Amino acid sequence: MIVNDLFKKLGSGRAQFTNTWIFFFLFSFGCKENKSNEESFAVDNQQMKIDTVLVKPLNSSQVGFFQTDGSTVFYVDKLFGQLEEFSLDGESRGIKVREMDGPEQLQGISELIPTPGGFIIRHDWMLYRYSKQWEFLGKSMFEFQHTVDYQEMLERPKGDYIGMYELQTYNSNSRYLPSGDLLIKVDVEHPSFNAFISRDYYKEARVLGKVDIKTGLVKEIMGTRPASYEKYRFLPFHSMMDFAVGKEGDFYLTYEIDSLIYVYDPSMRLKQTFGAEGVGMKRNYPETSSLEVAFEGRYWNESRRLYAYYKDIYVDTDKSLVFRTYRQGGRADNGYDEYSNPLRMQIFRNQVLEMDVAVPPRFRIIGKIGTSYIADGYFNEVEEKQGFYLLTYN
Amino acid sequence: MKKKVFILLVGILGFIAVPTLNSSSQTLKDYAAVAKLSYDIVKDIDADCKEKQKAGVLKVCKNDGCPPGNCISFRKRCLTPDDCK
Repeated sequence: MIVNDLFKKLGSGRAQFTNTWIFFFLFSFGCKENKSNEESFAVDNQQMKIDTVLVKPLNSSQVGFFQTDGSTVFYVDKLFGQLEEFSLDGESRGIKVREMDGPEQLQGISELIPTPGGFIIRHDWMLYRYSKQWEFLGKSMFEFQHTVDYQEMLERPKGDYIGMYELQTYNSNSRYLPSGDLLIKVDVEHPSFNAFISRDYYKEARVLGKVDIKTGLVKEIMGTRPASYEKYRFLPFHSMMDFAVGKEGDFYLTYEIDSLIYVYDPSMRLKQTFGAEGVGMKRNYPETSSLEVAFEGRYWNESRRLYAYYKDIYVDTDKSLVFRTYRQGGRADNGYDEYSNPLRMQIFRNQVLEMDVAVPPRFRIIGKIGTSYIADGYFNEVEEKQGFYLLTYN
Repeated sequence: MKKKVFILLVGILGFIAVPTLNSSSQTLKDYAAVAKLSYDIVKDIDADCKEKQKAGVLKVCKNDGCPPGNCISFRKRCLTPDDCK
C-alpha cells in the first residue's frame, strides 16, 4: 500500500518503470543484508521477543550446540570436544570438561543431559556421569538387552524385542526422568522389520527407550507411531519423532508427518491429543518401496531439505505452554542441508494454538532460565560467530 | 511437413529418455549390489559383532554419517563416515 502510494507520487509511464527497478534494486539489497546478518533476526511484539546473545568461546570450530541446566548455559564444541560454561549475558565461566581429560577418558561429546544431581555426557552409546562440580562419577554403555534368542529375533522379528533396537541418533534428545531413568529415542533397522519395507514397523516398532543410567541397560521400550502413518505405505525418511517431558511426568510426543501432539501419562497411556496444521507445509512426500533407497544418501538429504515435517517440542507445564517447531519444505535450488528448509514455531496455550511464527533455521528451545526460554543456536561460520537465543513470551 | 515434425519430436524425446533410462537402470543395478552386500553382512555376522556392539565400536553407514548400530542392522558397517562414500 505504502509502495503504491509512493509510485503515484513519483509519476507514471516510463518514470514509473524506472522507479520500479530502483525499488526492486533497493529491496534486493535489503533482503541480502538480512540474510547475512542472521543475529539481527528479531521477533519483537507485545507478546513475544527473540534476542540473540553472542558468545566468544575460548575455542570454537563452529560445529557444536548449546544446552542449559536451568541456571546457566553451556556451549559444546564437538570438534574440539570441550564444554564451556556461559552466563545468561554471554560471559565465559571457563571450560568445564574436555575429551581425553582425566582417567575417565571422555571420547567426545554427542549430547549433554542435565540431571538434578549433575550432568550426563553421552558420546555415541556411552554415558559419562558428572556431579554439579564436574567431578567424574562413572560411565556405562547402552545395552539393548536380548529378551529372546538371537536367531529367533533375526528370523521372526517383533516390535517388543528390545535387542533389535538402537539409539536414534538423528535430532537426539535424551532426557532425565523423575524416576531416575534416562529416556532416549530408539529405532530398529532389522533386515525385514524396518521403515523401508515393513508395514509392521509402522504399527509395532517402539520409539522411546528407558535406560538405567548406572548400567546402561535399556530396560523398557515404549510408544508406537500413530494411525496417521496408515495413510502411507513407507515413509522411511519421515518416520522420526520428538518428545518432551512435562512437570508431572507426562510425555508429549510429536511425529514428523502428524499435526497432532500426543500426551501420555507416565505409564504411557494416551491422555489426550491436540494440535494444528502448520502454515504452507509441502507434504507431498514421495513414498518408497524398496530397501535400496536406504543406501543412497541423497534421498535422506532431500527429505530434510525439501519437505515439511514437525520437528522439536518443548513444554512449560507451569505456564500451560507447548512450543513446537516445523519445517515448511525448502527449494531444490537453495541450500545443501536441513537449515535451508524454513523453520516456524507454533505456540499452544492450554492446548489452543496462539501463535505461529517464523524462527531462525536452527531454533530449538532447550530450557528456561527465569522468565526466558533458551534456544540453540546461532552459528555463522563465515563471520565465526555463535550464540544462543533468548525468547520471552507473555 | 507433419512427418518432419513427428521425426523431430521423436528425436527430442529419445534424446531426453535414453540417457535417463540408462542412468536409472545403472543406479538400480548399483543399489541391488549394495543391498546384496549388506544382506550378506547381516547373514554372515562376524563372530565378534556382539562384542563390538557391547564395546560401542560397531558402527553403520546411516544418514550421511557413521553412528553406532545394532548387529542386526541391515546397514553397511563402517569405521568412519568416509567408509560410507
